[in-house]
Amino acid sequence: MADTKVYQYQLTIKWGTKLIKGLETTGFSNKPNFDDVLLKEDEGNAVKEFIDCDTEMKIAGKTLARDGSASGTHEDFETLRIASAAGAQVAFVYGRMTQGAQQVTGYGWLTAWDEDGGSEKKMGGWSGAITAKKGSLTYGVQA
Amino acid sequence: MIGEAIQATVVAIIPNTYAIVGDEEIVAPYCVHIETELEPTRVKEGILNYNYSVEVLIIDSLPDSVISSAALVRAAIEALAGTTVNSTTFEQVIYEGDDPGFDQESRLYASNIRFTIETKTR
Repeated sequence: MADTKVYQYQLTIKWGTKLIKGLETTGFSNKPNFDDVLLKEDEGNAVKEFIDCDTEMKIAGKTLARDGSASGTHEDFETLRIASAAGAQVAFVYGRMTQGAQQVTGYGWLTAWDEDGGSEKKMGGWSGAITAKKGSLTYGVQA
Repeated sequence: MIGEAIQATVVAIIPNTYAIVGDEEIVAPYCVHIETELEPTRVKEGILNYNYSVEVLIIDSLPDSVISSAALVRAAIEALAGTTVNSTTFEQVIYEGDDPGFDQESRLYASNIRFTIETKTR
């Protein structure tokens, strides 16, 4: 069976149930946490015991505002700006948005938000970070 | 194609307008334009717009004519923003600058106008 190339553009994020207008890059970071455990039975050799994971997703894009018809399917940088100020916990989906593809689902908060706008007749940029709620993540396949 | 749209726009101001290179027996005043495709702007959902670097070279024997023609051409190309010409849908038209010049041998004046243009279609 042939291998499948997963292209960069296929890896995306849904905030709630919506895609994000102008999204250019996504990043996914998992940092597993361990405790060193040394029991009598380990005979002097400490072992790592898995505790949990710190999971964060980075998003960045262009200042492209959604039009009215996209409000049911897309967030944009202005709605995410508001979300970052609200501090609400929201469901997310990370991965490929196609049937049968691997995805990470869970809950998280927008824990960082930045916008950059110069003075040229060009779109500005924005970036943000979503910190996942510990224990809320599911690694699965899109039905 | 963007070249056809630029040609249609500029030829209305300077009848001797050519794409990329002028005719061999070309006589001033004339204009030559060239469009270079840059990296398109990509987002996760696809290509947001196509980007072009456009140069329009205006040649004339009188410096005042070069200046007045350059002003007309600049205004006409800037006015393409938000329109569709020859199936090219223009978004932003950004005037980047104007390089004047004079050729000693031919005794002709020149103005090279530079734009960055975003289009929705190729």
